[in-house]
Amino acid sequence: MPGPIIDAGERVTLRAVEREDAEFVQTCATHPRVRFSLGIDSHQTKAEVRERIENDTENEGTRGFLVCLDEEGAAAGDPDEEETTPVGAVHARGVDRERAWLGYWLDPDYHGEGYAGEAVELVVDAVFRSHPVHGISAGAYGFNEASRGLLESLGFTQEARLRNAWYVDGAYRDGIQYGLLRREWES
Amino acid sequence: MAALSGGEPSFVNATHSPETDLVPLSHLCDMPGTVFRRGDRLALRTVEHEDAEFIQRGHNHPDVGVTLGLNRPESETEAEANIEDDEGDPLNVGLLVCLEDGDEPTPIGKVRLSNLHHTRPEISYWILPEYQGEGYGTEAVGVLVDYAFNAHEIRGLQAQAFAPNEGSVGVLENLGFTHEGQLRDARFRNGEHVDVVWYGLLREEWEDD
Repeated sequence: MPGPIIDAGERVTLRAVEREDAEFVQTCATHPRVRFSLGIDSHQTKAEVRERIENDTENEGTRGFLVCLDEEGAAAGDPDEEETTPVGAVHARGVDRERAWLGYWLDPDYHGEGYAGEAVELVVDAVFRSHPVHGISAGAYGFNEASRGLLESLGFTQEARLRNAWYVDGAYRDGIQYGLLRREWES
Repeated sequence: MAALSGGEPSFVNATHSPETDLVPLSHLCDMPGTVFRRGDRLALRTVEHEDAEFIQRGHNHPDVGVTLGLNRPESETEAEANIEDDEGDPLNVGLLVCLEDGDEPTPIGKVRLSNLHHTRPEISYWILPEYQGEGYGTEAVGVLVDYAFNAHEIRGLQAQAFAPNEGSVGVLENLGFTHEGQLRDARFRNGEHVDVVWYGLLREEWEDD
């Protein structure tokens, strides 16, 4: 069950990722559309996902956000199951370094509605407001038009193309790296 | 010279003039380990526990450590622990760069191959300032690159360097690596944010070279 609200946009809310969300995270991370776009080369067990959530919690430099669609009047803290629907997650890693690194994914059933863009924009704002990072990095495979379009729409600049750096879904793929500097976010 | 991945830093190197008022580092070293691969003037030798003092002195030298992305001192105990970690790790290969021009080999730097399970493992390297400018970096890294492609079923190699670090970038360009991008202001070093450049070399590019 998602935790308390951290931030809210027009349609999505960001809630704390709890240990109990392992099943939802596992289901999505196993889905080929999510798995391949994240470069996850093997599925994970519930126990592994739970362990990862716990490691993220203990890691000083990592902030995890569960992307949720709340019903009207959903409780800010510990909502009931019928009050909110988790649809994805955004993670910011290295918030204690020069540049934080963003990772995100959305349940394929909810793709195409702009939820990811709304959620990532909220996290970008949260990271720049809460941590004195100089910039934020993110990456996507060359074939992932949706993810690249999302980053470009938020003002990220393409900074590097690592050729054939990953083997994903039967072929070698380029990794595209993006960056957004604080001064660009401010303007 | 070097890259930022894994336990050991890796940003490559330095073009600065030596300005060494330190004891010549080579004199601190016991007999280096056995030869693993050879170049014309250099050999890549196994890293032994006794090399901790040499490696530590290199990492703490401002003209080396800063270019590697190191921002805190490294004790000899830490250097020893890093050597031990690498011994038990099949995914990383570290080798001592030694000049073979006399009776005894002279250690002058270190090269490293990291994340051998990745599609493109990462290389990093450093050469002591007093030995820079002689092409030793290019020779040592060239031997490492040949070893990497010949011994491992990898798609390519990659490396990062601080953009202002001409010596390190020059090594990659000499060896036919392609500039794949530049992360703006990505690291804080020497009192300012500097760009980090990415380089890559694919197997067919290595074969053609």
